[in-house]
Amino acid sequence: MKIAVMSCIHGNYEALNAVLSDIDAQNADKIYCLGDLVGYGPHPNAVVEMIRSLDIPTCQGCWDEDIVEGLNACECSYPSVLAEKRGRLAHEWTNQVIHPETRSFLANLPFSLREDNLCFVHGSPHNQHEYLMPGMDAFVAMERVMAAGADILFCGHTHIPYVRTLDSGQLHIKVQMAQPNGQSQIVTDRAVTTPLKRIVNAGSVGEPRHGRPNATYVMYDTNCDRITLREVEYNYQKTCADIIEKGLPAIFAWRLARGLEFAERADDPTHICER
Amino acid sequence: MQSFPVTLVAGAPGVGKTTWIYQQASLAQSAAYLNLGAENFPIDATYLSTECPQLTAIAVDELSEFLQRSDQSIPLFIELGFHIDPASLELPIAPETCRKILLVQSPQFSQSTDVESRSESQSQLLTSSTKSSELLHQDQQNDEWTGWTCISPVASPEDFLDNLPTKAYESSRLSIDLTPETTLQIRRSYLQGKVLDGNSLETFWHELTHGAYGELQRAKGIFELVDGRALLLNYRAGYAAVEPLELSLPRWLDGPPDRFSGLEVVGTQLDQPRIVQTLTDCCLEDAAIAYYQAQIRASQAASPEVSQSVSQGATVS
Ligand SMILES: [Zn+2]
Ligand SMILES: [Zn+2]
Repeated sequence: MKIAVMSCIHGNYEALNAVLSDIDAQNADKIYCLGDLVGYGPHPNAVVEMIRSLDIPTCQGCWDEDIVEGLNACECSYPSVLAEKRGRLAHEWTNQVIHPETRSFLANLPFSLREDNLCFVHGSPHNQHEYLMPGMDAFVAMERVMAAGADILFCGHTHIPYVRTLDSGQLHIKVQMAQPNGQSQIVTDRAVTTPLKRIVNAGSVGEPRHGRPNATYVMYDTNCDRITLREVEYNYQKTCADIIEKGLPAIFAWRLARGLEFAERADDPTHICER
Repeated sequence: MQSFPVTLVAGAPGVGKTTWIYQQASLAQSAAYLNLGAENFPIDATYLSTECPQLTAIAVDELSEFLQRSDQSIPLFIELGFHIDPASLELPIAPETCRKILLVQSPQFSQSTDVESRSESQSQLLTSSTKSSELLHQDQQNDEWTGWTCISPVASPEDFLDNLPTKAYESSRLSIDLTPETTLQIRRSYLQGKVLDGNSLETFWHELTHGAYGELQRAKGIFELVDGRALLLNYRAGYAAVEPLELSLPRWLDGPPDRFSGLEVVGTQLDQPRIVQTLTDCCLEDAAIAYYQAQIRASQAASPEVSQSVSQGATVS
C-alpha cells in the first residue's frame, strides 16, 4: 500500500491542489494529513473544504487548535517579537474570515491518528506545538516515538521534511552530578535496548522552508518499506498575488516566494507553553 | 598631514569613505571628523568616535569655531555624502588648502591616480562610477572632480581585505542609475530610545538586504539590543556580507538608551512606510526592556567578571 502524508497547508489552495495531483499521479492508496490547514495563507475555507470533501484523515495542527481555542500561547512560542506580531496578524485575519463550518471542522479534528504500526501527529505525541527537529537528542527523539507506541512516527510542524532512523541497539544513559569542587561525577550508567524506529517529517505543502517555493510531502510504500520525499512545483505567484489582494501583509508573499517560512521555530523547540 | 590639515572625502555610497577615514585617523595622534549630508543622523560619526578614540566628531555649526581654535596640527576629515554636490560647497576654508580625495570603486584603479592626468578610458570609468550616484549635478560631470585625487580603496594593501567586492562593478550597471526613474533615494529611520529584539532584527536585516523593501544599494544602521549592546550593521550591494560590529560603547542597562541609533538605506523604490512598520514590530515594549535589563543586572551582580566590563553593572563586593 502506498500512503501519502502531507502537512502544514496553511491556507495555500494552489499548493494543495498541485500536491493532490502529484499524489494522484503516484497512485497513492491513502492520504493522511497532519494538520495546520489554516494560518498565513489566503484561502483557509477552500483548503478545509477540499480536505473535507475528499475525506482525508487529518489530525489537528497548532494553527487549527489556536483558531478553535483562541490564541493564548505565551510569547515563547515565537522565535522573535517580529514573528509574534506577524503571527498574530495572520491569526486575527484567519479568525475573521473562516466560516462557522470550517471552525467546527477544525474543532473536531483528532489529536493523532493510527494505522497499524504507524502513528500520525502534527507536532509530537505530547503536543501540537512541540517541534521534533531533525537533530534533536536521540534519546529524546526515541522517547517521543515510544510514547506514540509506533514504529514510524509521522509528524509535521517544522516545515522541513526529513527521515530520521533511530537505530536499534543500545542507548546509554549517563547521569552526571555536579560536585562542590565544580567537577562532575557519573553516578549512573544504564543501557536500554531499543528496536529500530523512524521519525518521518512530511515538510509543508503551503509554507515550505527549504529555500525554494516548492511544496513538499512524503510517500510511504508499506510493501517495500520505502519512504520518498516529494517536492512539487506549483503556481506560487498566484498564492502570492492572493495574499496581497486579501490584504494580508506583503512580506508573507515575499517570504513564500523564497521558501522562507513566515515564522521560524522557537529557540527551544521542545519548550511547551503552560496553557 | 601637516600641509593638508583639511581633507575632503567624496565617493559613491558604499565605496568606503568612512572606512578610509577610519584608517587615516587611526594613524594620527588625534583627528577631527565632520560628515556633510548626515544632518542629525550621525551613524558614521558614532562609529568613528567610538572605534577610533583619538577622533572627535564635530557638527557643521562647530566648524568655524574648530578652524579658528585649531592650531592646524589636528587633521580634519570632511566626508561628503554622495548626494552633496562638491561644486556647491561653501566652507569657511580656502579650497586650495584642502586635500581632496575621491574614492572610486574599481579594480582598474590599482594605484592612486590624479584625476587631471587620467587617461581617456579611466576618465570615462570615473565618470560613470561617480556620476551614477551624483544625481544632483549630472550636467557638470566633466569639471566637478577636477583637482580631486582619485583613490581606489581596494588598491591599498592593508585596506578592505575583509570587504573586497564579491564581483566587480561593470560600468553598464553603474550607468543604469542615470535614468530619472531610478534616482537613488535616502531613507532614514530614527530609532533613539528604541530597543530591538535580536532575532527580529536578524529577520528584518535579511529581508531588507534581500530586496523585500526595495532595491538596495546601501544600508547601515546602529541598533540597540536588550543586553545593552549597540550593533553597527552594514550592507553594500555587490559586496560580501559584513559581520555586525559591536560598538565600543558602555552597555546600556538602565531603561531606553538615551544615545543615537537609527537606520539609513540608500536605493530605489524604497518602501519606507513598511520599513518603519517592520522596525516598529522589532522593538521591545518598555515593560519587556525593564524586565530583561533587571535580569542582566542581577546576573552581573552574581558574576564579578561580567560586571567589571559593564559600566552600569551593580556593585560587587
Ligand atoms: Zn505549520
Ligand atoms: Zn504547526
